[in-house]
Amino acid sequence: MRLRSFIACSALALGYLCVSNLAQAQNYRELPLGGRTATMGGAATAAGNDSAMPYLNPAGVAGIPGDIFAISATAYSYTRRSFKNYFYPNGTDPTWGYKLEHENFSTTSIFELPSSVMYMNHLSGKDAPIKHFVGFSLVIPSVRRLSIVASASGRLENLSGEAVQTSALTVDSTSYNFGPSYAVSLGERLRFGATLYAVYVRSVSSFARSDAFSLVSGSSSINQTVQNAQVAEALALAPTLGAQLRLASKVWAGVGVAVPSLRVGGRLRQSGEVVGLREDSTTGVPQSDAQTSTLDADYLRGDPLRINVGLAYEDRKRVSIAGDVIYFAPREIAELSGVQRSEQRRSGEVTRRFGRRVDRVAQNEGIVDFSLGAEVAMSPLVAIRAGAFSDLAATPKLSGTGDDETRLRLDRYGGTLGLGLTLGSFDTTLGAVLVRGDGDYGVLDAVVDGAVVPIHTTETTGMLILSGATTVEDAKRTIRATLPFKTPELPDLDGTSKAPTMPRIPAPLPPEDPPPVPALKRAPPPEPGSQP
Amino acid sequence: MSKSALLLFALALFGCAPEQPQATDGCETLTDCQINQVCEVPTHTCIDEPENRFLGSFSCTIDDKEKLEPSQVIGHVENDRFSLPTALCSLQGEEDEIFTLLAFGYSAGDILQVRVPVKDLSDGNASIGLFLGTEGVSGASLENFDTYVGSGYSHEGTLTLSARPATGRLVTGYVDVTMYPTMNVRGVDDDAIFGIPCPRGRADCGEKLADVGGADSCFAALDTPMCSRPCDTDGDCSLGSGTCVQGRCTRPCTSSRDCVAPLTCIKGDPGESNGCY
Repeated sequence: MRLRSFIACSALALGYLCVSNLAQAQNYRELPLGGRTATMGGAATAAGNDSAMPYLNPAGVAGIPGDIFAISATAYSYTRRSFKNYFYPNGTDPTWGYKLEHENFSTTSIFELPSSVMYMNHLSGKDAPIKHFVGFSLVIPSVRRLSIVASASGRLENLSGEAVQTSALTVDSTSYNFGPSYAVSLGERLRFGATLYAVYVRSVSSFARSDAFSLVSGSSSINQTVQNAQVAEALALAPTLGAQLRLASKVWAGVGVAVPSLRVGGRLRQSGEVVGLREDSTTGVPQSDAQTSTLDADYLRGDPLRINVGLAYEDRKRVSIAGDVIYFAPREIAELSGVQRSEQRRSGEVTRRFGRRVDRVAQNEGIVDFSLGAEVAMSPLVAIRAGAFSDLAATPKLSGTGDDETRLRLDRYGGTLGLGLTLGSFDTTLGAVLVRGDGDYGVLDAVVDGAVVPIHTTETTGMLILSGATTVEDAKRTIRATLPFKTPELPDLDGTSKAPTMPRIPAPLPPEDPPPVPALKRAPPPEPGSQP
Repeated sequence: MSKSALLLFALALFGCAPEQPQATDGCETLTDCQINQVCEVPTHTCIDEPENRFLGSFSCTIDDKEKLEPSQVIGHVENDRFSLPTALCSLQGEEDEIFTLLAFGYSAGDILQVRVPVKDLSDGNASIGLFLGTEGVSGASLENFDTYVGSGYSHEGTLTLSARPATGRLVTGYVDVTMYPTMNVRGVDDDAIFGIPCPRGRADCGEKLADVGGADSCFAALDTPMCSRPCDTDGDCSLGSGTCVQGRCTRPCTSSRDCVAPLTCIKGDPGESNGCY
C-alpha cells in the first residue's frame, strides 16, 4: 500500500494559498450586457444603442434617440456543473481494495444582479448636424460564482480500513466597470465615442478539504485538513474607443477598441492552514503536522487589448441582423508581489517560522470570440430576438502544476432568445440565455501521488434577463400622470426646454372703500329733574 | 491624469497598506527554513535535507544530565530521516579529554553521537573523521539503543563550539558530518560481518551493535583494518558466522583465497580455526 506522505500534499495545498488562480479572469464575457444586445447574442458593435454600448462600442451612444435611463439585469442565473473523478482523478491503488460506499456532490449556484445601468443625455438640439452625447454607466461584464461541496466515503477492503473525504470551494468574483462616456454623431452616417472606465475587480474565495483514513481496523489513522481564504481587490483604468459607420441605408459597420487597461493598484490577502496526522516515514510513529500561512501582497490586474468588429443590417421595422468578432489580445493579466509568512509545526521537529517572497504573474492567452444575433419586428410594439455567442477561456490550459489546483477553465458557447416590448414609455426586454461550458478543473490527487490532475468538467448556465429603458421625457410624463396632484412642467436637465414658469404670486387685492362710519345720533335731551 | 494622482486615488480607495511582512533572507537557524530543508549556517543558506549527512546547531550545558537542551540537528541516512531536536553534552575520559555530543530524537531511541578530543577544540573547530570503533574519537555514529542497530557512521565533517568545553559551561555549537550508511551495503542487511577489510570504517561491519554481538570496530590488527570484535570463543562471533582467532572475531579460512585481499589467512592458536587477518 502506498498512502503518500501528507506533508508534500500540505505544501501543495498551501501553494494554492499564494498563487492559485490569482483571482484571474477565466472568461471575459460571462454576463450578457444590455437589453437588445443581450438577446441578440451580444452582437451590437455595428448598430447597437442600448446600455451595453459604453462598454462594447461607445459610438453607439450617439445612436440613442433621446435622453434615456436604462437598466439591464440578470434577474436570475442558475448554473449546474459536473466533475468526473473528483477525489481520485487517477483512480485508487488496486492493492487498497477501495470500494466507494457513498458520494455526494453539489455544485450549483444562483445569483442575480444588475449587469448594466446607463444614463445618457443629449447636449445638442435634435436638429443639429453634429450632436454630442454624454452619460455615465456601470457595466458588469464578468461574474463568477462557483460553489462546490462534495464528500465521499469508502472501504479499504484489503487494509481493513475506511476513507472519508470532503471538499468545499466557494469563489465569488465580480468585475465592475463604471465611468463616463462621450459620443458624437456627424450627420446620419458617422458616430464616434469614448468611455473611460474605472475597473474594480473583487474576488473572494475559500477552500476546505479533509481526507481521513482509518487503517487496520482503526489501529492506525492518517488525516489532513486544508482550509484557506482569499480576498483580492484591484483597480484599473480602461479607456474604450469606438466608431460606427453607415455603409448603406440599412447597413452599418462598427469597431470598438478597449486599450489595455492601466493597472492602478490592489491588494491580495490570504490565510490558510493545513493540519494533519501523518506517520513518520522512518519510524512509523504518528506525528501531528500543521502549517499556517498568511499572505499580504500587492496585486495588479488589468484587462487586455480588446478589438471588436461588427457588421449589421438594421431595419427596426422588419428584420435586423448583426454579427461581431471580438479579439482579446494576450496579456500579463495579473501580477502578485508580496511576502508569505509561514509557521510549520510537527511533533519531533523544531518549529519553523519564515517568510518567503511570492512574485507571480498570470498570463492570459489571445482568443477570438463571436456574436451573432437577429431581430424580427412583429409589430411596432413587439419584436422577437435570438442570438448565439462564444466565450472562450483566456487562461492557459491546465498543466498539472500546483498553481492549477481548483482552477476552472471552460470554453463556453451560448444561445439567446428574447422578446422586445414597448409598453407605454418603457422599452422592455425579456430574455433567456443558455450557456454550455466544457473544459477542465484542477483537483489535487491528495492520496495517490500529490499531483494536481486536470479532470473533465462541464457547466450549464441558464439566465433570465430583464431590461428596461425609458426616455427622460417619457419618464417625466409618466411621473406627472401618476401623481395624484397636478404639477407644472419639470425642467430639462440640459436646459433646452422652455424656462420654467415661475409660480404666480397672487396680486394683492385692490384697496376697498372703508366701510361707512355710522352716523352718531344726537342724544335726546335729558329729562328735567334727572340725574346725569 | 498623472501616475502620482492615480496612486493617490488607489490609496484613497484601498486605504493605507499595513506594514509589509519581511521575507526571510537566507537563514541564521533552522527555524528560518521550511520543513524538509536545513540551514547550512556557514553559507546562511536553506538547503534541501541532504542524503547521508547530518547538520545543525545545538546548545548545551556541559555535563548537565538533568535537562535536555535544544538541538536543530537533522539528517538522512539512506532512505531514513532523523530529526534530533534535543541534545546532551559531556566530557568523557579519565581527564575529561573527550567532548561528546548526544543528539536525540523524541522517540524511537535514535542517537547521534559525536566524539572529539577537547584538545582539538582549542580554536573552536574540530575535524570529524572516519569512524573506526566505539573506542575511537573524532568520529560520529547514528545508533539506536532500542533496536541495537547502527544506521550510519561518520565519513568526515567538522564540529564547532562557541567556547572550550568545561563542566557546567553553556556552549553553542554546530555540527556538519557526512555519513556512511551501514544498511544495504551489499544489498542485504548484514547483522555483523567479521574478517573483511573496512575502508569505510565501522560502517562496513554490519548493522548490529557490539552490545548484541555485532562488530565493535574496524580494527587494524596487522596491516589492514578489518571488521572484528573481542572474543573468547567462536560463540562470541556467531552473529556474523565468524570464528574467534587470537582474541578477535574474524572470517574462518583454510587459505588466503578464502579471505578478501589484502587480508591473508593466518593460523589460529591451538584449538582455534584459521582466520583472515
